[in-house]
Amino acid sequence: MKVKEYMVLRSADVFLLTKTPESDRSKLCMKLLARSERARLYLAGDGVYHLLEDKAVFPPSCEIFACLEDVAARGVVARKEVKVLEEFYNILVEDVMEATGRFFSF
Amino acid sequence: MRSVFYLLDSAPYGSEKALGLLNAAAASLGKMEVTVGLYGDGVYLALRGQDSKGLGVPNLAEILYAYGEMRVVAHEPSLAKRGLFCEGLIETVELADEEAFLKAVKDSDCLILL
Repeated sequence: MKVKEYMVLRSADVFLLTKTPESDRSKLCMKLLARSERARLYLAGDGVYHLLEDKAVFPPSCEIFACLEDVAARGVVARKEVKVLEEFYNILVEDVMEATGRFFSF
Repeated sequence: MRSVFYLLDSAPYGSEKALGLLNAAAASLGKMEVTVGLYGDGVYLALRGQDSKGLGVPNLAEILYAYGEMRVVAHEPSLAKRGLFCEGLIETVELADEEAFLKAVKDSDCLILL
């Protein structure tokens, strides 16, 4: 996966989540995500454990990206609609720089 | 003017997170619209009558009093969950229900957690 493939300029809120599903920060993040009309969720670290949850917990309009290294390190298998990125942080940084929405880090 | 929401979700004493967050928020005053949100264990910062002498660390309530222009919002459900709803709270702290609190986060240009 290359950076340019994900260089999309559009209005969306960008969320970075690094906490496990049971953490309070994750729960707050999911509440804000549910209130976002269009969002992109980046999962890194223990945040990739959210991929084990039912996909219904994510808003349908939410695009989900996960860090390949962290997914592999934790033995998590991502669903097909999740984009698992080798250049995760490069893509995240470019997205945050280019997106016109807000950026939330948890 | 850009707005920033500093979210404190950990207990005010026992780590430097709350002190660091308040210092950062104070430094942002006048340059940005600043809101400090107290959530989860962070709501303990709203309690009146804090005494940190035994810990040898600054009294964080005094920082809130010193920067009265700093908007501080406490998440009501977090207060209620900890049985603090009927406790004396610092006068400058606003209470916000779930919706109002999330709206304040969402409406800010920037969210900072430590």
